Amino acid sequence: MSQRQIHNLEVDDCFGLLRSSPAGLAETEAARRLAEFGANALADAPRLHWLRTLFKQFTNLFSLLLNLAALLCFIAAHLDGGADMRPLGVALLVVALLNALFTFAQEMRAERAMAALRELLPASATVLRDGVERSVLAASLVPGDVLRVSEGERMSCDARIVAASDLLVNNAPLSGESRHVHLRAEAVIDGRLSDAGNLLFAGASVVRGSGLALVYATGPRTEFGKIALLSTHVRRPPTPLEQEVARTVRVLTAIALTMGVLFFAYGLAMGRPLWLNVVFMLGIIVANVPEGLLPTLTLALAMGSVRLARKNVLCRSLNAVEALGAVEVICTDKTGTLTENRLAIAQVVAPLGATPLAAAHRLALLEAAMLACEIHGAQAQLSGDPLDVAIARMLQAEGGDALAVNATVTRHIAFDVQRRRAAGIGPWQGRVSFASKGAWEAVRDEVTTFMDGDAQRAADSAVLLRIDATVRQLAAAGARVIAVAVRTLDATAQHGSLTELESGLLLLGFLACDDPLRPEVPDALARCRAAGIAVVLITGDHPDTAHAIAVRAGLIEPDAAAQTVMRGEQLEALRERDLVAHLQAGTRIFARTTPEQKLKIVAALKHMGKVVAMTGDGVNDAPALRAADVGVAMGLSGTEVAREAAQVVLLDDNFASIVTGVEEGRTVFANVQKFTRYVLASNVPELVPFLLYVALPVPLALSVLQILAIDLGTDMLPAIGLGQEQPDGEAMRRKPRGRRERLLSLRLMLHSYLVLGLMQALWAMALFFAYLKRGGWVYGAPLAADHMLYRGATTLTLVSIVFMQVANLVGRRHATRGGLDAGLLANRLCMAGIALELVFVWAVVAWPPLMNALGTAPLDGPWLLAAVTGAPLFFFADLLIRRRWAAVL
Amino acid sequence: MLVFAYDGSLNGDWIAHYAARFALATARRELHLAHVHERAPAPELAGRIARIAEECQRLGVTLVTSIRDSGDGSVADGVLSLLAATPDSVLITGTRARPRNLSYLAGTVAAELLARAPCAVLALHVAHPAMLGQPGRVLLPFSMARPPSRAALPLVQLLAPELKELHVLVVQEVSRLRFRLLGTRGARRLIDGALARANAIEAQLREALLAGRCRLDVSAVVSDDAVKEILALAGRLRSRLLGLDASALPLSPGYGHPIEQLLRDSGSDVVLYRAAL
Repeated sequence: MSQRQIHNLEVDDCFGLLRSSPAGLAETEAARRLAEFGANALADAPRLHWLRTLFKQFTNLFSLLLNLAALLCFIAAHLDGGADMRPLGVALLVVALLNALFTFAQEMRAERAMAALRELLPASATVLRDGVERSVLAASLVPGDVLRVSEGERMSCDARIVAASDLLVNNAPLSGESRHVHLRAEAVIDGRLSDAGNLLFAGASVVRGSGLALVYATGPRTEFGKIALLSTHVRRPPTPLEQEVARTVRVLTAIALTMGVLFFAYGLAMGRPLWLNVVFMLGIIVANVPEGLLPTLTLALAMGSVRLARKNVLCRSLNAVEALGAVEVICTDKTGTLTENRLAIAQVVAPLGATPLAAAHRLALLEAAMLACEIHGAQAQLSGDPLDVAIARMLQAEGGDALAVNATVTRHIAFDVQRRRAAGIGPWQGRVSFASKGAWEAVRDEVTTFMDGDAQRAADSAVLLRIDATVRQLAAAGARVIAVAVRTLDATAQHGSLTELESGLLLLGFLACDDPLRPEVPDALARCRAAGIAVVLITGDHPDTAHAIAVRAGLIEPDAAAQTVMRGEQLEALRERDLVAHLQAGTRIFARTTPEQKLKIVAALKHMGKVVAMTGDGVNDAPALRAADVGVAMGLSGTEVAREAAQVVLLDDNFASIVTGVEEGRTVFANVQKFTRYVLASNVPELVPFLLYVALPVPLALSVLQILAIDLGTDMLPAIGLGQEQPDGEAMRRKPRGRRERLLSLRLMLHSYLVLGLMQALWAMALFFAYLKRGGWVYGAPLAADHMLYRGATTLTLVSIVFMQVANLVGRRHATRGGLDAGLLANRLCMAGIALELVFVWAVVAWPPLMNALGTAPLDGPWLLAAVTGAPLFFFADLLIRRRWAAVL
Repeated sequence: MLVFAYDGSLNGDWIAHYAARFALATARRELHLAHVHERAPAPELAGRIARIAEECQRLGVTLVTSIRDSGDGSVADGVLSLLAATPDSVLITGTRARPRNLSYLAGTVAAELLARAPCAVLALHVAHPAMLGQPGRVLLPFSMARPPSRAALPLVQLLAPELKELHVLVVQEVSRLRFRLLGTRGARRLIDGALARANAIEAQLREALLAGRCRLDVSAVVSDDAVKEILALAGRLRSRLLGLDASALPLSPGYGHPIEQLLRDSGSDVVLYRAAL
């Protein structure tokens, strides 16, 4: 049974389908339909949706943990009378609030994408109601309305053309194709609804002419509305870092709470007072929770995004910085991203053999091609379609006058996406001629003769096959091939139909157009290869052109197997699992594809468990940009809708900038691991005093306040410094980490807790007990909190931990090397962190306000020296262990 | 027997295209149009039915028309009385087209027929009249929360002649909290379970479709929001028809019921299907 849809219907049947007439609907009927079908508007988000989104940000574990830490500060302030921990608590609450607001702003971007889409639609329209033309709000249009469309207008609904006068529209927002399409009222025999030449879609603009259109879909039911819905319904998956941070927070919270509860129960069993047990439980939790980790992470990402912005990569979401680093596959466009989007005619060749034409023939071909062009402006500043401008420039270079030739055109038939060619009528070689320029496949059937030198010869099927070979040869070299054919006309034929005009064509030759590869691209692709990142090219171009560009860029080898290239039609017919198989088998180029097919490719890659970055610039790229792990929009050529839907905007549209982003992202993740190790290391010497205090009759070596002074005081700036380490050149030599590598891996925890932490704890506790022993303390004897011996001992513990953290900071700068060789001065924040730690040490032993606040006391030179000695001991022991057990740690 | 409950509305005209196409898939190529009116039939009714008859004739489908008064009963009673003699029929009806802040089903004839009709029921909502009842690409979502059933088979068989692409989606719904805490491995395990169900459904449908003219594909997702997943996939696949199992549909589904949400937010046509009671 043949397909029959609205574009296949005659105009009368269309009116029947929608119970309308050429006079339009009656006002009463229009009002009834408005109540029945709803307004012609893109849906708003549900009321109070923003409130729910905001609330969600305060209930995630990240936020809860920060709030818990703040609560602990307030409790500590309450319990530890002399000290005021409230400012720290407030600071943590502010961090939690900022994080929540930032994430909220990101999530609300989907709404902004919808707003950007809405702005593409007009506010009013001209309709026929009761046979009278009137201007109405676009929102009040209903199925069955008859619209009057004219030059400059934009569509707000989908409609079937019922009358047209030289109607030329631009469907770019929907099709992504910036060329103009001629629309007519006649029924179309076959073809898809979305490509029909008698339908006007919402978002399209009328470039020329006028007509009447019968509305058949409004609001979310339009094709444009479906893109808008898809842009909001497609959920962005959590980035690998978001997943890892959530997991890290869960693990650390679980460890902290479990230990706290266990020791609380132990204390109760030992008969300690309840209140004292509560205090120690809180101490154990505070010691276990790395309060500074999450704010440091946010800062590291924020500063990473600033660095990326300087490199033309604008991150619209903080997590996108790191997500770029986890990318395993980059799906990229060709035009403008891999190439310069600067169309130039590289060659003018003969129909057979791809040999360059002689000067006279070249000039004749260019003049014929010019008849099928439409250009404006002055000689120096031509404007119009990039191909038309390129032809005009070449004609001028050959000594012709492009504007003069173009001015002689008596009839112009604009480029038609379906027909894939443009045409014009004007004088050529002294005779009125019809000239056609377009894809060879599009004019092939109408060519009956061809130019062979100065002679015209018949183009029989054997010749046509040889011409096919010429075209393939040119396309395989990466050229976009445009055929130019003419036919001389007599006076009566000039006004014939297009079908009549386009017969018996004489093929003059081909224009081989070139869009040069960006010079940075081959190197960027080589870096991707070294970094284990697969690059997938998705383009609307001919497969041979795409293949040639891919070879030239170094994306594939020249002798790559045929299965590396897939056409859009093949892709359309594939099941998702079969597409996965093709991708696994090495398909890297998708040619003649539509923007909608990008989503299918993203879905298949994600089914393979890959972290995917996808580039896009058009309105209909928005769903794919949202579905990818990292949506990358083009800042120069991209639409506002694409930019709003993406997480990353390339300010220079350059593929190489994505690779720079990946390197930065990988560096950020490596830095996050560095400062996580750094921060977790100090948790053990903070925890051990509590464990000993609960288990043995010994004084507490660190107070809750002193722990927080390390976690939120001295540890913060050095950790931020580690977050700013520069790329070390190794980032792009490693395989992508994808979703597999853990932020809080077993290796990292073993190294932080059992190596770094334990070393710090041993040295700090050894000094603590040595100080007490030297001061006359006897094992088991209680010591008052304000006893100078006790204050001195806790001061020594605190100071020794801070010194060892200085050594830890240096050691964390490199995984296997010492860290000093990387040039300590190169990282000013690290230097500032070390300076802060040293000032802090001075302040806790010599500055009364802080000494009173933290309960510390002055230390003698030998004890200070003993504390300082811990740093080099720790540093070299750590270095030896890392070198000895590099594979494990 | 294929019975089409026609209400004489514009929406009814659009559903008639589906009904006529469905009739093509039956052995007898016959469509019974039943119109039950509460008061006098609308004056334009005859003209409208004539247009449907014209379409049926063009397709080679025989149209049998019965028009009756609902009498003391409701419109649904009238339709049901026509079905009493043929419980093995398939009844085609339409949900009403209404703006988003009103229910599509609650209190409608369609809801009553879905609840009471002894035969299989298809309730259609046409969002896109331009397709003229030929959706081509169809998405059938299923939930892991419900036991597997064969309720979709009659619909698929009726759609078969026009079908180009049939996509089966199985959604494993989890609570919002669980969804947020779900790790990669846990999600993979759930997806694998849903995929196994999807493959089983696909095998069943492939058998029902007999010939391999239509492309079948499956996917599975884990989600805390099934409606969003269905709408997103429908958009991604550019599905023109969503087929939803309405077996457990309450007589008056609330505004937040997933089927109501899908009827409200879908940009494509929707068909609710239910097997014979």
